Amino acid sequence: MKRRDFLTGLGSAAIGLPLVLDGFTTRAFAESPTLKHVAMLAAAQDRVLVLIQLSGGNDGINTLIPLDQLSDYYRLRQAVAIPQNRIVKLNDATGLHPTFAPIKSLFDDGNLTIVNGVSYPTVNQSHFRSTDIWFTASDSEQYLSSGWLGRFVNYEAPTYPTGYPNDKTPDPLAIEIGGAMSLTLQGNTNATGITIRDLSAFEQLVSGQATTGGSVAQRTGKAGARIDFIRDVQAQSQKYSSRIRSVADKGRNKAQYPDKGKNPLADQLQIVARLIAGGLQTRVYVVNLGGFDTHWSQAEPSDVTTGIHANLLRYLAEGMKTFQQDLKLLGLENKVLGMTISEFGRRPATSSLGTDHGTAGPMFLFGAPVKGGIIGKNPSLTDLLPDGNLKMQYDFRQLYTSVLSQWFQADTQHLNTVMMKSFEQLPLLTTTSVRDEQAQATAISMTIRNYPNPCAGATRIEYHLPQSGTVHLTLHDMLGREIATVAQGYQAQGAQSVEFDASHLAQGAYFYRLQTEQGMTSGQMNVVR
Amino acid sequence: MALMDAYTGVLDESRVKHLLRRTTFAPTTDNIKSLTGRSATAALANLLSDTPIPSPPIDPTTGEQWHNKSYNRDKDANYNEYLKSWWAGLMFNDGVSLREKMTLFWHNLLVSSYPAVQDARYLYRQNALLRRFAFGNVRTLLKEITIDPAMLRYLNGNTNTKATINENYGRELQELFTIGKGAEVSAGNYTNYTEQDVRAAARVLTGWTDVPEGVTSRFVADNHVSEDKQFSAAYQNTVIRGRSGADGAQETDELLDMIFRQPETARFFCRKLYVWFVGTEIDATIEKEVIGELANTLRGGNWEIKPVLEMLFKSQHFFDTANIGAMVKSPIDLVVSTTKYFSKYFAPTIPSQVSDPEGYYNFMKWLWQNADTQEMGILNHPNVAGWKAYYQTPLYDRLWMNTATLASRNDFTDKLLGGFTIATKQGMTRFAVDSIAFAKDVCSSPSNGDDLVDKLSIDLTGVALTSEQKLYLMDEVLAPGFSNARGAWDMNWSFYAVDPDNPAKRQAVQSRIDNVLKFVLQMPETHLV
Repeated sequence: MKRRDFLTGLGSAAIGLPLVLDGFTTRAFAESPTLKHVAMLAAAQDRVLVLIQLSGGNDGINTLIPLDQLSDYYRLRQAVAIPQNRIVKLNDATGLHPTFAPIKSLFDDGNLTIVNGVSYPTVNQSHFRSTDIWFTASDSEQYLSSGWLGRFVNYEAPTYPTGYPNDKTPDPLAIEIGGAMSLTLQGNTNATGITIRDLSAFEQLVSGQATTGGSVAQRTGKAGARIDFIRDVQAQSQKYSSRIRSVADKGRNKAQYPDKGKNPLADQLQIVARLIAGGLQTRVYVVNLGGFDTHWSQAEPSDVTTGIHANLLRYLAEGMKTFQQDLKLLGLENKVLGMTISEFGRRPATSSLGTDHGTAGPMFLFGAPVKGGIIGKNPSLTDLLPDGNLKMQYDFRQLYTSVLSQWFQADTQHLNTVMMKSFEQLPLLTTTSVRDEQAQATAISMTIRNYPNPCAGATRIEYHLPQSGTVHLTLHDMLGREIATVAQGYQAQGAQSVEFDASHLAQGAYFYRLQTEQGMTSGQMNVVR
Repeated sequence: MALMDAYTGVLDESRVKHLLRRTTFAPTTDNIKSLTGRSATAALANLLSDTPIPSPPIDPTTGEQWHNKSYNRDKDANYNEYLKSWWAGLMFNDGVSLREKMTLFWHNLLVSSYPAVQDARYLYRQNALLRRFAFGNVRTLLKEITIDPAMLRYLNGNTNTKATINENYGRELQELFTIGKGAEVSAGNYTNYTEQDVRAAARVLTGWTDVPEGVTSRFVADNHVSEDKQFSAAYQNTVIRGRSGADGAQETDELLDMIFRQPETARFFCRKLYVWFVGTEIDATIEKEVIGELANTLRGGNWEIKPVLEMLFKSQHFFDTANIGAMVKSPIDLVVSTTKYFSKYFAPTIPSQVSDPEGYYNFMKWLWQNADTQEMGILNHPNVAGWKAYYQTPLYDRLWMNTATLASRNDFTDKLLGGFTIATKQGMTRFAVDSIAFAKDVCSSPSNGDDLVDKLSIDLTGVALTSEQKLYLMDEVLAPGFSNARGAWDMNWSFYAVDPDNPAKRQAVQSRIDNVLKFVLQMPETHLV
């Protein structure tokens, strides 16, 4: 048996917290807020996020066509504009590129949430830099060396890979399909996941059968014999290989995926579905679809509904749809959330044969857990940034924060460790965060803010108490460490405010947290010098 | 054309790399350049030229030598570490020279280990002996090692007296150090020698003991068996006449002379050299044309090793492409040569032996410790037969690779790029290869991704990568996800090049170059030599 392949860096393990729920009944959770919280956390341990990276910068305007601005669309986009009779209508305001049309049924079923105009302030138009910003969740000018999902994993598994796999976490904490681990999964010191190169490498790992992948050199003679030998050792030495093999043996895809090699994204999602079906406890998967940097030949001049971008959108739509079908047939649809990211969108005005780097673009969240529908408006093709690019409606970090909080039930400290700042959440999912649940349970909505903000010296923190009672108002740094108690004690119902002197604080972002008998709320304060 | 005919052409780059990888620890880009286009004769003149005897090891905490002092029970374990670090440093600093690979060869043939000898001064003395004979006379070396104090301890020669005969050295001298065990044709008859010869040799060697004061050996006539020693037909029924008094020591010379009269002894050494330097598969043709010819040279040259090395490394057979990349790289070779290859690019620079001896010794300790973890510890052989990779059929060099050592090898190469910490006079210092400095040096146009991945990998792999593999490095490792990966890389390199101090721009290119180097260093091709 020869494995003519090089797999690299396949490690594995699972993040899962110990299941503290054994012995409790579902009824018990419902009755006790504390137990309910615990139950939600435990359910979150079972949840999976599949991140789809669309490398190169997807052209959002030709993915979702603004039916409300068609005259501007045709004026600006001569080279790539889809003829009106070929646009597939999603709703009255929004149309789909014809090859992206398969997602309409996902949308109609409520399994797709679209967020328009996602970006970040001051977009960097370098692919690598902007990709690094999306991977690390940094500001435009901020430099971070770890990825947001790497920090997410590290928070619960700070020593990884030391001590992993172990009895409680036998599976990889994260898996990326691809040749090299992206920055997304880079933790504070180590990569927090493993890579599986591609479907061929996966099949080989699972079957132990020789395959001939594109990157594998066939060699003969004494050197060739040794390369075969080393590849065998490599395959055996993947820490998680036997676990992945046994899980893949149990897992079966139930949907009909495109033939191997016909859709590079579907090939990857097929692996992910099979591993989830087989019981792998990995919570984070990263897959990649490249080629969106369509400066040239975005669309075929003879038929603009064909070409590079058309093919990519077909891969994406077919991939998401087949994966979702598979999960449904497998009975796993409530367990898995998908999300796309792309380092930037593309410019409204086209160049001769394609589109240049842009700014904001749509993000897609799919799966049974999403609320469905569209968040945000169609991007305006006339109210543009000075360089002719689209204006931002949402910061991509709001979506990250929302997913971590609503899907993985990350608490405030966890969120602050991963995201470094607090970001306003969007109502993306049918699941809600721990904090939301607490708030809903007591039917209390509290708002809190400070003015001025940003501040250099004195600022006033204002809030409204629905009931009289004991309050505890604390100030924290972005790592969640408490810096000061701002107010503590009994306060009366109604408007309250506390003066706070920020002049002794270092420049940066802080958040404050108001704990009452009814619930907790928080806000962010920015200190400038 | 006979296999040992001289390779008369000029050496092309691939043959220069082959020669440097097999014979030195310094297959650096500069050394490859300097020998390419020259003749094998010219290259051998460099490789075999005598080099000054290095000054002895020190205690880097005091700067003082310890090999010439009395045994220090409290510090000896430290001295052993210093000795190993000193030796690793000699390997690391050895240039275009065979000296250190020959010293290591002798160490693996004429084994002594610290756990058995328990005196670092002894092992320094032995190590200096092996180095002095790197290009010396084999028969003289064997005479010296037979009464070397460390060897007297290691194989119990110091307990071999007429009252209590200890056969250990008398056996290993024949079985492992000189003539070798042939087929066991009858009970106790190993073709080349018999059990009778083991007993006779042990009696010849009675009387030798080690002297801790001054680290020397002494012949104690009272302990010597003064009767005649009768050898078997394997040695032409030789009788070594018994001598009494100080003259008893002369019998040891006669024993060695008898062994060295046997044609098989010369073949034995030449086979060992072949397995160490060329390959493990010795068929009838190689036995006749290579081993036979080398053995003739060894005997004809009165046991001088230099002419044998010269003949071997100038031969058509050595430069046969079938032998290039046909061995698994040993751990010491991997650790020392790879670190040496990148040594110019370490940030900060490697500590100086003169201005920071502790830092220097600690750095070199990191090298031998890594080799140790990969199951090749110096002065720490598993047993008297040496490292299994040089004798255990049928796997031989493949034995360096198992699931544990592969992980350690990958860990080592990842650390070269990712960083590792060593105590220097600046305190705990983090060292890493500055991959951008390296890339700029080896590649004149690093913005050209194809050229860059070629130059990054070209000197590292034992066999050249295929064009397909290099495309994979370009498309899937350097700039994954882009239909125009080259354009994306070119642009990002340009961003960095005009603003090299910007950490974000630097990270964008450095992390991707690191990925390529880490990937290449893990490829099976890189583990070949």
